[in-house]
Amino acid sequence: MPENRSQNSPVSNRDATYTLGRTSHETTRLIEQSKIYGESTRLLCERAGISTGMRVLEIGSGAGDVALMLAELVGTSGQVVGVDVNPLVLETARQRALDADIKNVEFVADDARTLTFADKFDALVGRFVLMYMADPVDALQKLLTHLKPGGIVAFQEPEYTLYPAYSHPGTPLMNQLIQWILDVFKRSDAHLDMGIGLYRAFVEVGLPSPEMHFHAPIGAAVNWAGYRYMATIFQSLLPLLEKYEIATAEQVGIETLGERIREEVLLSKRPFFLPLHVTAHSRFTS
Amino acid sequence: MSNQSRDAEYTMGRSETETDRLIEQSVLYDDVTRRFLLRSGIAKGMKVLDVGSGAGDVALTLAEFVGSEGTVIGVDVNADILETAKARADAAGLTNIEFIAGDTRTLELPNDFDAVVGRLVLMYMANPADALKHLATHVSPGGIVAFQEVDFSPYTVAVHPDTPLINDLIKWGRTVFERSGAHVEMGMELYKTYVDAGLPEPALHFEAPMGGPEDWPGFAYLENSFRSILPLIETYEIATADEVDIDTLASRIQAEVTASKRPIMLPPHVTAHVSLPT
Repeated sequence: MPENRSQNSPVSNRDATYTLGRTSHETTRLIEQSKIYGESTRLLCERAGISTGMRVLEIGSGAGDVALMLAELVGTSGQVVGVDVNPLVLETARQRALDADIKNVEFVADDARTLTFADKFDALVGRFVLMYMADPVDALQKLLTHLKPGGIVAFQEPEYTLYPAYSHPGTPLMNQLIQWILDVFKRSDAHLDMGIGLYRAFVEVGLPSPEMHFHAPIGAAVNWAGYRYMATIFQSLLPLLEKYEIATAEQVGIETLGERIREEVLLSKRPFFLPLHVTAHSRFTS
Repeated sequence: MSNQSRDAEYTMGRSETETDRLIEQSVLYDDVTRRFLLRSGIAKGMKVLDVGSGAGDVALTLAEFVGSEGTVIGVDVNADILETAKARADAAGLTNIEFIAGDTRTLELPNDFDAVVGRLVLMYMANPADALKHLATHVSPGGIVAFQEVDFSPYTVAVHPDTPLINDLIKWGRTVFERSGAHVEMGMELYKTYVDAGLPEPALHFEAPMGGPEDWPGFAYLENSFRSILPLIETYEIATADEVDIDTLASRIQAEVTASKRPIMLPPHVTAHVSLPT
């Protein structure tokens, strides 16, 4: 391990257990996630320069939200190839592309690090995916081989290490949820600082220092969708929370969780933060 | 947030460097503000009050949004800096902006604005909820109340052993704002401030630029920010001019980012906007 590598980014030879599981609930959560994080992903792709006619490789497609958004950005003269290791979730992605009559996107069930493609891509995009890879730098290095010189690299990853900044004496439930999230992602070997870690990953594979933005969906209004979304996150996390003995189903109280978060927000008058994330983009010059 | 009987001393000072800093700040946060104004519903033909105009950046953007059939009135307590704002409006050929020197809380202003907007201004006010309540009285029913304010909270956990310089800047920066009476977590308190002012619940957004590339303007922006707060850093004996070593600050920050491979975060901004009942 390089001596100045962040303590939160251990390099192992195995990928993280996908902390959120592979259930049909998780597929629903991925679609809801996109409604909340989609705006910043689109902004990232626009800032990065993804435009009409480009051929884009998207890794970790999941239910297909990022790929479908990219398909719109590149238009009918462009093309999107979405890759995910989970063939089951790609069935949903393919169906959604069909339903939306989007023809310029195809999905491949495989590991993008070991795949080969006949043609190189204009851009490489990923959201919440390097965090689960055993060695994000090595993964990015391999992914770059799919890119043309001058190609765009754009990633969006969570940053859990800054989340405790939003603990507050007036919000015990929020504080507990933050701690459980940190514990379960850490135990499943995900990189907790992958957001900030994008800088290191980019420069270690020889990319120019990226332009970055730090985002968080926040809200405090009675009808904000984020409370219920946080409960859906915990529904996906619950099996591992129990397995690692971090929290019991009873302690998490999924059925009432969204409502309890809302009550705490209205009482404390402090906005609720969904997991923080960082976007980074740069161009592959060599 | 504690309410005080007195406003904060304007932590950033009133120098020419400060005027340059305000303009650089706009370059870095411009797209945040534009998306914020768009989401808030600022549109062609509106009459908008801009609170705390400074060098005029938000007012100039607003003038573009409301177009020639709309008007913008920008107010700032600092008459000197409004000269810069006026000159920039003239240079841009904008005739739909007027700048007035004074305190929006006591000035005689119309009560038929379609929107009141402010960026990094409630944080300096003694009682932000009272100020907001008063400012909203200048807005017509159905009008917009939209504020963008800073949130220093993530810096409390951003300290890292590989970034001693940035750790110092975090400590000095937060201390000087707190000592001068500014609300350093005003962004986090916007929701409470709106509700306490009797306004409807605002929609919130959060964003911070991070960097960055060699040509990133954030490094120079940070240096100029510290140039503006250096007099108070010295007055409050938080650090000496030698310790800050202002003229090399941007290059030292950049060198530390490069060596540590950890990006530096500019202060996050929270935006809040709401439409009043009709």
